[in-house]
Amino acid sequence: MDKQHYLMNAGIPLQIEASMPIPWSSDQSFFNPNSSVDHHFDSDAFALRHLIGKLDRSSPAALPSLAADPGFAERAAKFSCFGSRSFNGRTSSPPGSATPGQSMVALPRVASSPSLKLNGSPPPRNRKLPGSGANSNEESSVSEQIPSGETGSNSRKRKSASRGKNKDHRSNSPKEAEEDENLKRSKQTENCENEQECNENKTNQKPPEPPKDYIHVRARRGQATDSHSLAERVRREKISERMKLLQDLVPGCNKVTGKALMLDEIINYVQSLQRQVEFLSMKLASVNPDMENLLSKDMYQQSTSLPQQMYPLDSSSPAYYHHHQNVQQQQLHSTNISSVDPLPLDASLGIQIDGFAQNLPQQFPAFTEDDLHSIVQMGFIHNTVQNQTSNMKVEL
Amino acid sequence: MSSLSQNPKKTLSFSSTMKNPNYNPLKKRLASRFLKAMGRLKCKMSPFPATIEEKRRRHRAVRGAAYASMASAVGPRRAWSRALLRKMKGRKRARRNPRNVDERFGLNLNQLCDVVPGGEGMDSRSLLNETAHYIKCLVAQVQIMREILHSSSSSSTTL
Repeated sequence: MDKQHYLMNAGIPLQIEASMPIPWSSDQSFFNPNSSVDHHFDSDAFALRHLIGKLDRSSPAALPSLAADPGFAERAAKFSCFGSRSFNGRTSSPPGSATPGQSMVALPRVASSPSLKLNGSPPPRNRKLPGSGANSNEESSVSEQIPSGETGSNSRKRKSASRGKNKDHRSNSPKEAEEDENLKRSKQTENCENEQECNENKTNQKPPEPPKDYIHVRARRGQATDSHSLAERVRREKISERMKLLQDLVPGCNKVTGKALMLDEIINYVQSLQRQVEFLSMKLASVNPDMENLLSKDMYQQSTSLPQQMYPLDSSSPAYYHHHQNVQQQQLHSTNISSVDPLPLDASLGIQIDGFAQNLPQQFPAFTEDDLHSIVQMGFIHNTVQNQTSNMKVEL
Repeated sequence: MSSLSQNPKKTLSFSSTMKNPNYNPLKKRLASRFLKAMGRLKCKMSPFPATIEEKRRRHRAVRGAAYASMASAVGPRRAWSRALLRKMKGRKRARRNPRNVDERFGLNLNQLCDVVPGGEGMDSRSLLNETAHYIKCLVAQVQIMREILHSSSSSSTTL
């Protein structure tokens, strides 16, 4: 089981469960020939080669190509927790070496969440980490990859702690390296560091690696690290993102903390908005007759797509309503007053004229009674067509 | 009326920066659609409703017009607008999705489902998205209606 863990860790950072078979041979592409950082790892490489030999003997069928890779031991040493490496800014590391490092230290409890978006500010976090060398070390990579979501100062403290732990583990004999490695890795999962960094590392590792569906999430300090909880945590963060968005929308939600209270606030706000719509609609329904003035005015102001011949109509319609000194309009006004339904007719006039200006371009300035009747007829026809919309009774 | 003449293009800061595939900002679209709907309603309604039932009918019609114009202005891009449009057209729910809102995050999203139209068949993340957009549109609609009311009342006083 430990061997399986080790193989999975050393291999492809794909799957979560330890019980899954290790797709060894399928994903060897991250073993890039990259000898830039091989210098320090000779002793560890020897230990690892020994381990590999053991593993090969134990399960020869599963690892056909494992020992075949000459540089594998070096790389494995690079990315295992054996050596005393300094925690370092990973941005300086070349992507090729960074890639296998991240893949190599894929911890056994890494969750693959297909839809995790890597957010956060990776560069500042990388800069926060103190580093002595420019090498991408597996220790630094591990500790840096392990997320916590804590602040930078906390992350530094924890890095020193994990560094110390790693140095202690280094002294273990190679034969116990497996278990120690797993132990170290588990401890380092617990000594979690920046998740965003880890995410950024994953983004770094994405282009050179073969296309994968999963985005890896590192476990946080002091939290359960099985796949389900990790995926849940990812989803929880996304939800909290949305909640923050909503907090900006809903006024007065800054003081409220906690998702439940925020949600209550949001629900209250939406309900109050709906009540306002109801109340305003009631008021609008009651102050009906005055609507046509501002309706035409609003349409004049707010509709930008009306054709040019609309303008004289629009200008004259408020003029019609407001400037009664004009002879034409007085005529019309008197005729309208004498008609059975004065105001809806005016409404129909205003709206229908605005709506169908193309159809009656020449009639408006004339303002004879015949024109009014024709317009009204057109308006009624339009109304019958549009009856369905006005007949809606939406119970919301 | 002065408010309307001076703010024909007032938009919510959120909406103007955010989405808007249309040329017109959200508020303008909402306003034009709502006004058109109101105009259509006006033609149909009698000026002085005598009975309470008539008043209630008018009120419901106006409210329906408000929501319908809101949904049609947004279009089928959002789940809540689609749900509203479905309700308008009378099609009672194209799909009957089981209520699969995950509760394990400790959020009481059931109430939110009830409040936001079309909130039943969605997971929590999209539900929150829809809620945000719905709130934005509701706020715009309320502003429009208030402006209309104010301008109509002011016009009635001046006339």
